[in-house]
Formats: sequence, structure tokens, C-alpha cells
Amino acid sequence: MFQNEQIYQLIPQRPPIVMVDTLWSATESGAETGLTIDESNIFVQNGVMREAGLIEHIAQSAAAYAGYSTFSQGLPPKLGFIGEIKSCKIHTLPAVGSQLRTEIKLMAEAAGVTLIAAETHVADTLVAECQMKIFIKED
Amino acid sequence: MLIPNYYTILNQQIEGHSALFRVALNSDCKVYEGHFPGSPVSPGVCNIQLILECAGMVLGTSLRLLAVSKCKLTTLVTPHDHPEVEVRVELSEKNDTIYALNAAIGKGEDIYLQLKAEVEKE
Repeated sequence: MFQNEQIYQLIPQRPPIVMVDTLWSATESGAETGLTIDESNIFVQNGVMREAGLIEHIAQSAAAYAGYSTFSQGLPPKLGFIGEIKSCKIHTLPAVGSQLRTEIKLMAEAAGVTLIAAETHVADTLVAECQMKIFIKED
Repeated sequence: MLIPNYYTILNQQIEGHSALFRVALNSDCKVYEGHFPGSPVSPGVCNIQLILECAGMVLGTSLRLLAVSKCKLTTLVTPHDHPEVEVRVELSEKNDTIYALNAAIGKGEDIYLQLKAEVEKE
């Protein structure tokens, strides 16, 4: 498990736009990540996390998952960029203090492109779901 | 504006439910301190947020993003390479509060981001 600033070993993002604070688990087929929504979060407005923040949380969850495998090889995290978002639904806007828990499923991976499917829950409530294509910048 | 100082609207042409905004991306926005240190790249989600806020100006209210059926981000946008962009927005009414949103960010013939989404008046 990677938590709080340990996550910096897995993702290239830094404050004020760090949108994942925990990697709970990672396997060959996917990962589980988390974020506790702080009032100071850049995507919080009127006490709730806005849609863009939820999508960025999913993107950085995928980044942490990709970063876990590069970390295992002793390498720093690579820059990744969202290439495509599909079938994305934002069901609710979670309140400050909520603990997001996100399941990332690896759907396909080839030549610097990763396709993932994600579901974000707060407790038993589905908050957001999304498919995302992420481009990894090779150095 | 959700992300303070992310952009400045230079001018806007709104006709009914269609609009074209000319927008400056501000390189001194704090978000670039972390995305990424020493290598500023405009976060794709901040550009989606920019579109939502422009669409909100067209409808005269803030909007909730319900769904993204497709968003393609074909060009890496940075405030240095793309200090000025054009945001095109087209809304079509589904019912009293829900609209289909078709939008793009680009410049001239070039398209950097295309978005098909569903939004709701807040």
C-alpha cells in the first residue's frame, strides 16, 4: 500500500493537483485507489467535489497504477496524458470528507497507450464511472 | 471559475445556443506548479471545465456535467504553445433542464479537444 506522500513515488502530479492519496492494491489486471476529499482540494466548490475533479481522480488512479509497475522496476513515474474519455457518467458530487474508492480495470495495453475502465464509489454509492485511454510519454 | 486564474475570456460571440469564445490560457495559474513541475501542461479536465463554464455563460446558469459520451484529446495543450485558444460550444435542449453539449477547443483549423456530453442546469 502507498499512502499520502508515498504516492509521489507513483505519480508525476504534485500539489495543488494531487487527486489520489492511496494505492490500496495493484495486480496485473487492475488496482484499487483512494482519495479523501479535503476542503482545500482545488476541485472543491461549495463543499462538494466537482465533476472535473472526479475525472482527474480516475486519471491519476490510472497513473498510480501505471506508476506502480515502473516503481517496481526502480524507475520514476512517467508523464501520462488523457487521450480519450468514453462512457463517463457522474452520478453524484461527493461532499468534503468523503472517501473515494476507485477500482481500475486494465482493458488493453499497447505501445504507450493504456485503456482502463474505472468505477468510483463512496461507501456503497456509485459516484462516477468512466473509460479512459491514457498516453504514457516515454523518455 | 472553478480553477482560479485558469483562463481569461478575450471575447465571445453568442447566438442562441451556439457560441465562440476566444480565451487566453494563463501560464501563471497555480495548477501548473503541479501539472507538471517544470513541464506545464494544461490538464485535460481543466479544459473540459473551461468548456462547461463557457456553456454555462451561453445558458446563463452554472451547469452540472451528467455524462461524457466521448471526449477526444488529440493535442497536448500547454499555456506556452497555446496561449490563446478558441472554444466552440453548441447546446441542444433535451428537456427543460438537460442539454446535449457538443464542444471543441482549438485554433483556426486545428482541433485540440472534442467533447460530446450531457449537462444539466443547476
